[in-house]
Amino acid sequence: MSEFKELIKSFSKSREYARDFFVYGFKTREEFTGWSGRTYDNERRRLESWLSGHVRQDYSGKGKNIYLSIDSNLSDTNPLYRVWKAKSFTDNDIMLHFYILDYLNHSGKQSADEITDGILSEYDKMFDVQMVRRKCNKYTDADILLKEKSGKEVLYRLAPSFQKNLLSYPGLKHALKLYQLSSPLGIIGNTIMDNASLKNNIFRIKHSFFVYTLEDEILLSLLSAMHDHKAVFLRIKSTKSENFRETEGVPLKIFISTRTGRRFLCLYLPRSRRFASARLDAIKEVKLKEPFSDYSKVKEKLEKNKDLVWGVSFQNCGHRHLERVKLTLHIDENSEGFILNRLKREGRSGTISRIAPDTFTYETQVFDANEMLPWIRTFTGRILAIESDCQKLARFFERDFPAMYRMYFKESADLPYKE
Amino acid sequence: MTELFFEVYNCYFQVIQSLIGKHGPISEKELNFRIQNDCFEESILYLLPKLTENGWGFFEKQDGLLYPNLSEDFYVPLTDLQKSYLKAILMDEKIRLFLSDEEIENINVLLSDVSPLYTPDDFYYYDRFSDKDDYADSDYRKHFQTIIAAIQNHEYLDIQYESRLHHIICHNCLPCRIEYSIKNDRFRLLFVESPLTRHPKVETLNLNRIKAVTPTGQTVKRLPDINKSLRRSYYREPVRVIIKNQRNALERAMLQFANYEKSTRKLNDDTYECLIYYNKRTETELLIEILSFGPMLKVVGNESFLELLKKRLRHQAELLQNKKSSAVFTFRRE
Repeated sequence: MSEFKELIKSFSKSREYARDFFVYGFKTREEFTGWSGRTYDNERRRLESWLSGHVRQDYSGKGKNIYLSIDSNLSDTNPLYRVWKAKSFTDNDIMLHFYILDYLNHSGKQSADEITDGILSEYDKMFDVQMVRRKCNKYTDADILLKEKSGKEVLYRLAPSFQKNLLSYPGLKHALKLYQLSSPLGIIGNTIMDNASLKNNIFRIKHSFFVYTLEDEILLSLLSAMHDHKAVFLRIKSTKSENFRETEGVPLKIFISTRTGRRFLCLYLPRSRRFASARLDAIKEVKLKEPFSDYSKVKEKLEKNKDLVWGVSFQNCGHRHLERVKLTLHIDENSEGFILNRLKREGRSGTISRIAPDTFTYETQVFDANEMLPWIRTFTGRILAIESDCQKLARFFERDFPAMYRMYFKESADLPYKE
Repeated sequence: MTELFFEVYNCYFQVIQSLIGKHGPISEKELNFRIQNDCFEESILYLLPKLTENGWGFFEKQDGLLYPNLSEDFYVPLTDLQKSYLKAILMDEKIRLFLSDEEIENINVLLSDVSPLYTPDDFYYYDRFSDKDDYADSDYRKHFQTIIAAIQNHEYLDIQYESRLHHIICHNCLPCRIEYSIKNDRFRLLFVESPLTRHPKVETLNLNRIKAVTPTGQTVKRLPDINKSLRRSYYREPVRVIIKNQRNALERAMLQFANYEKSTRKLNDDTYECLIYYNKRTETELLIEILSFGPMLKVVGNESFLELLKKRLRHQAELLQNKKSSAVFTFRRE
């Protein structure tokens, strides 16, 4: 039986477990079907170790139920960042890290041979020179060391200290405390804070979906492809089943919903000559392909069209270019000005008109009006009429509202109006 | 670009680095505390022998204290990924709340050989509210910086605030945190008025309505634990929601409510119960979010939240009752 280790080599399996525990938070051992029970036990123990303080447990009739409970409003940082700080390493990795950096800090430029000898004489630790050279080259690729040639010799030196810059720009120190919570790839800001021993004692975050960080490796690959104007191959897992599909396209932009917790990659599909989207948390693999020659042209097209997308859908089921939507709402002008404010700030480019006392219309045109239904439902209690080319919006009156009314009043209750 | 899952960011490396930089010997008690605080729950079992016995040799033990074998000015330079991230955040408009244009330019010069990890143009927050704060406003920037300084110094501020009804209200308050809302693209100040009371109440002010901020010179030793106060502000009874897992409702709801403290359990094959904790401040927002799911979610408690929901439904029914039904279902067909 192999020994349990809290550090891991690769992140992909733990990512799925962390996501299921955090987002769902109710799966028991039997409900994790993808891997063996033994794997479940190890992954659970690992998550409990990584995220201690946030793991809760309940007992249900079906067994122990462990879940992650994280209130983002009460956190100085994203506790899920800890999963990125669990990369395994060897004894040589950690010793070379500290000894090479410390030695170069006060020895200036040195060759791999000199560093190896220096470590032996200063710290009484012996390493193979090839191993030292490999580590120095790896750290040079990461910009931790700088490399230069002197005749036939390769010399390494330590890159300048960032901490000195932080002292010169204290505003940057505070900015990091905010951005580690609020920006895309905030985990990287958080590692800079670790490096500089900074703690966030100023900012809190609202409407943040901490689970995003689990997709950050995928996001990095996509950003790299976007900046190089390259096409990508994607392996995507269905969010409703265990099925996978594969697609190729040109990544253009990341669409983020601040409400639903979903992030999407918007991509152009050259074969069908249309825009499409894929949920970031469903993308399991990204492979960079060749550069796409018309990248700037399709990006420009997206920029022109994106304001006409309510969510992420660029087409409707009726084969219309745009679908019109008109809501008529009852809003008490004296006491419900905040509803008008909601329409203004949430309705994007829609037009608001007062058509009678306490009666207002909101009109807009979008590619797929069906995407507006969840937003329209939030005005329940004020909706006088919905007019649209999109027949699906009739569901509010035909299906949603009657079902809700019966659900909350009486299953058999007659609606107080004619259906 | 180096990868994100890189051992240099490992918390073992970080805790050792900070212990070396501590400038002085470390007691075993402190070492235990730091490992437990900065690493994982089980790290101590592995890490302690490596640091105190014949392991990696970073420390030497003398009279029960650990002395670092590495120089006190030890540092780890930033990686290419970290520098690239810094360059990206310098392009965000909020950075001007922290740095002057000249400072931004100087830092950009320091990072001149690095490309930004992303640009604001790479992302589109499609349902973000449009009435965001004006970060370019010089008074706003000044207020922001004064509040940050006061939080650092634990100093009381006198604040003149414009209410929703455009009245000017004066607050003498102890600022505790600044809250940023991604959805609203706005900052709010979290403060208490009387930190010495047993359970200080946390209040909020929108930064864009603050008209003047004056430091008072009056300080307290430490800021109150606002998490305790915020938790106390949560209603004792959470909202209890029943989710029928149809049309992917479960996955959608779990994700949408992921930023609330919640717990979920399975009731039977396709039915789940989710408890969501909230307070007065988040009540309307939660109600709106639940309404957006329509009949896919059913609120069964608490009573007062349920009543708020029913009130909306009664209003809707009344509107429909008073209208001619044909007007309600008008759909243009092409």
